Amino acid sequence: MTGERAAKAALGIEVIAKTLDNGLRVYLIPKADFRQTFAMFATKYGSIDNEFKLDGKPVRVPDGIAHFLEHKMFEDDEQEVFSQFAEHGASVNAFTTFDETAYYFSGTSDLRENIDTLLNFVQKIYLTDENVEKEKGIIAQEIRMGDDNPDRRVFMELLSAMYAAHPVRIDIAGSVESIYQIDRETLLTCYHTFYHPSNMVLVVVGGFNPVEVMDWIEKNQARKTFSPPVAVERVYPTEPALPRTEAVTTRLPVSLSRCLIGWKDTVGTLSEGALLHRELLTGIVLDALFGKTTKFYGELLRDGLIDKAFSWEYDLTPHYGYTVIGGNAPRPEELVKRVKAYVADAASRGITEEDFERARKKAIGRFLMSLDQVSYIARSYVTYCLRDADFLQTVDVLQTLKLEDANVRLREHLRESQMVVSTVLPKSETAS
Amino acid sequence: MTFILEAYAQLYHIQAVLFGYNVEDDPYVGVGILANFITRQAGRINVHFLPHTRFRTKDLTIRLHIPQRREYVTPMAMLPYMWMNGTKSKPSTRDLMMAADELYGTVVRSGLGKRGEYQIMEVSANIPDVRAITRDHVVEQALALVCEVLLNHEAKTAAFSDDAVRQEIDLHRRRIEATRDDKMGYALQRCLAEVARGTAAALPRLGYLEDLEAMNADVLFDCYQTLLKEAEVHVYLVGPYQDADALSEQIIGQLSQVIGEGGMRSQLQVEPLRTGVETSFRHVTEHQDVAQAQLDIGYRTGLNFSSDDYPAMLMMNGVLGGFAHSKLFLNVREKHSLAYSVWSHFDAMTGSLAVMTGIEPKQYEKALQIIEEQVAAIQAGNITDEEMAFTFRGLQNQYTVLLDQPSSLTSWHYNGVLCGQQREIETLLDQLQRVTKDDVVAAAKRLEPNTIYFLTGEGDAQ
Repeated sequence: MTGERAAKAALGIEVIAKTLDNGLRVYLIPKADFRQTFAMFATKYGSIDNEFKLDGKPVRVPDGIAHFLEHKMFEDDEQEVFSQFAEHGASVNAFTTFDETAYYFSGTSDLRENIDTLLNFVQKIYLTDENVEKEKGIIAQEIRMGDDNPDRRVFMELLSAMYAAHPVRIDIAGSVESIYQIDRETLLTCYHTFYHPSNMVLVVVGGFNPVEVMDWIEKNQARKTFSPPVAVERVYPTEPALPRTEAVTTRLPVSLSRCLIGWKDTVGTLSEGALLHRELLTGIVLDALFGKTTKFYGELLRDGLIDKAFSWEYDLTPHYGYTVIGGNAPRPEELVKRVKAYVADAASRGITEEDFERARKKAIGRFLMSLDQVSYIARSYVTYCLRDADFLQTVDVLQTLKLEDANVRLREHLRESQMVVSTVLPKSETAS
Repeated sequence: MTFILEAYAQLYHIQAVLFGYNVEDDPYVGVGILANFITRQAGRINVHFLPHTRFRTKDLTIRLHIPQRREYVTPMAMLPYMWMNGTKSKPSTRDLMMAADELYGTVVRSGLGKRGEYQIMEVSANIPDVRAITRDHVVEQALALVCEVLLNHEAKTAAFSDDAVRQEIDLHRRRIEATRDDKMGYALQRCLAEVARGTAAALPRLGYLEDLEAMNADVLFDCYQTLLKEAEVHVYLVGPYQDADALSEQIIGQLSQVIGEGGMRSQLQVEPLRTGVETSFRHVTEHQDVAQAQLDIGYRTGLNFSSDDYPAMLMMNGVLGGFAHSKLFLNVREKHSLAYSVWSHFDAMTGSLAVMTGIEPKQYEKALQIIEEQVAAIQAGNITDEEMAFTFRGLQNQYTVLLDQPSSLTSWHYNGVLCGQQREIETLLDQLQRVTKDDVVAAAKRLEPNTIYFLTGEGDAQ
C-alpha cells in the first residue's frame, strides 16, 4: 500500500475512502487551495438496466426509465430542489448514462448544507401521478432535441447496428413512445431497487477539510434508516460476439454527412485491474493509429475525407466495450474503404516503438493536466469506481504498458469481422 | 476498502515539497485577483503574468485583436486555422502536433473569437507540470512552439502554399455550413446578429461563404501581414511558472522581432449597442427541416461590462433566466412543460440580451406570451426576496469558480482590456450583493424590444 500511496502523493492527490454502515461508499479527494467543491452522488444504474429479477421475480421496465427517474428526483413536496441548492449558492445537475445515474453540485460556500441537500434529495422520492405525467412533455422535447442532433444520432445508430440484443443499443432517454408507458409505480420499483446506499457512491473533490466532511456525511446517513438491500439480479440478454449488422444509414436535414466506424469488443470476464489496463492500452493503440500526429490522419485530411473534428474513443464496461472513430465525413464510403485497408496493413506491420512512446507520454501529460479540474476528477472517479477500477492509477498503469501487448491488442480487437459503419447523410431536397 | 485518513496530515507537507503548494502563502486571499497580474508592455505587445501555484497546468495564450471589418472578416477568420497547417521549420500539421505530443501532450491550439466588434485570433498552449517526472525544459520548448505557430510563416510555403490554402478554403466552407447544424447555437447567433444589424458586431464570427470564391494564398498572406502590423497583442501566462521574468523577456523579444515594437496601444472603449432604435419587435422567421423549433427573443439594453449598472443587469438576467430557479425556467419549463431548455443570455460587450428556447412549433404563441409575462413581471417589481438571494448566490458561485480556472482568469482580464475597464471579481461580488430590487426593476426597464427570431420546420407557419 505504501507504494500506491507514494504514487498518489506524486500526483499531489490523496483519497480518503470509507464504506459506511449502510453500504454507501464515500471517497473524499481534497484539492489544496481550490475555491470550488464538486460533489457527485451516483448509483450504478443506467439505461441498460431495463430488465432484472427482484427476489427471483423477473421485471421488465420501459426504455428510458432510469433517465426519467433522474428527472423526477428533482421534484420535492416542500421546496424545489434547484432552489434548495440556489439558496446556498450551489448549482446542481444530473445525468444518466448507459450504466450510471449521477447527481452533482458545484459550490464555493455552505458545503455542509449543500452536501446534506444532495444526500437528502436523492434519498427521498416524491412522485404523484400528476408530476409523472407532466414530465413526459419535457422529456419528449429532450428526445426530439437529440433526434435533431446528427452527432448523437450517428452514434446511437452505430450502437444499435453493433448490438443485436444488449440494451446499450437503445437510446439512453428511450423513445417518445416508451416514456409514455412509464408510470409512478414502476418508477418507485426502480428507485427502491437501485437507489439503495449499497448500490451508490459519493465522491467529493475540492477545497475542504476531509475529516470534517466525512463527519458530516456520516451524521447525515446515521439519521436515516434503510431497509436491507433487495436481492437484485440484472438480466442482460446473451449478445453474439459479432455485430448485428455491418452498416446503417440515416438521413437527416444536415449540410455535412457524418460517419462513425466502430469495432465491437469481446469483454468476457475482467480480472481486477484489467479494465483500466485494457482501456489505456487500447487508447494508446488508437492514438498511435488514428491520432492527429499519424500520417494516416494527415492523408485523410489532405484528401478531404475528414475534418479536424475527427476523433477516436474507446469505452469499456464489465458488460460491453467498443471502439469508435470518425466524425464529419464528406465521402463516407471512401473513408470506410481507406480505414479498412489501413487497419489491415497496420495489423500486419504493428505499431512502432516511437509512435507507442509518444502516445504514452501524451497520455501521461494529459492525465496530469486533467487533475486541475475538480469536476473531471469527480466524474472520472465515480465512473471508474462503479466499474470497479481506480482512475488515479492511470499514470502507474500507463508506465507499465508494453509495445508487444499493444500490438496483440491491435490484432485481436480491430478485426474486420467486428467492424460496423454508421452514416448520417443529408436529406434529399424534397421535403418530407 | 482502505481508510487512509491518517495520511491526510502529511498531504500538505508532501505537496509543499513536491510542488511548492502552501496554503498559508496563498497571496490571493482577500485581495483582488487582477491586482496580481504583472503586466509588461512594449508598444503593442503586452505580457500579463499571473503566478499561480495551485494549478498543475501552465496556461500560455497569445491573443491578437483588431476591429471587425466586412472587407477582411473572412480571411482573418481563416488565419488561426491556417497557422496550424505548418510553418517554415515545421511544414505540416503533423510536424507541429508531433512536437507538441513530445512535450508530454502539451496542447497547442489556435482559436478564433469575436467579442462585440472585435475579431480575436489566438494561439495557446496548456503545458502539463511534469517536473516530478522529467528534467526536460518543457515550458521553454512549448513557448518556442507557440511562437512558431503564430510567427514563423512565409508567403507560398507550408500553411500559405497554394495546396494548403485550397484545402483550408474547402474546410472553411464546411465550417460555415456546419454552424447551421447546431440549431440552438445557430439561432442565438442569428438572433444576436439581427439585434446588432448595421454594426460591425453583426458580422458572423467565421465570415461569409460568398467571400471564399475570392480567397487565395496572396490575399490570405496579405491579411496575415495586416494582422501582425495592426493588431494589439496580449500574452497571458497563468500557472506555476518558475521564471516568469525571463519568460516575459523571451516572449517580448520573439514577438517584437517579427511585428516590431512600433505602434501605440490603442485606447479601447467598446460602446454597447445604442438604444432608442426600435419601439417594437421585428419578426425574423427562418425555415429549416427541424423537429424542434428555436425561439429567440433579442433586446438591447444600452449598457455593458464597463457600465456602472452592469451588476444590476447581471442580477436582472439571473432573475429572468440565468438559472434553474429563474422565472423563465420555472414558468416555461416546470409549470407549462413547453421546453426542455430555456435561458437568457446577456452579452457583456454589446449589451444585447437574448432569451433562447427550443419548443414545439405550434407552441409559439404560448411560449412567447409566457416569456413576455416574465419580463413584464420583473419590470413591475414582481421579484421575491428569495429570487434576489438565490440569484446573488448563484452568481457568486459562478464568479468564484473562475478563480480555480487558469483560462477563465485570462478571459476575465481580457474582457476588461477589451472594454477599457477592469473589474475585480471580488469587487463585482460586492456590488452584486448591494443590488436592490429597484435596481433590478430599473435594469429590466432598459430592455428595449428588438428582434423575435424563429427557426422552424419547413411546413410550419410562424
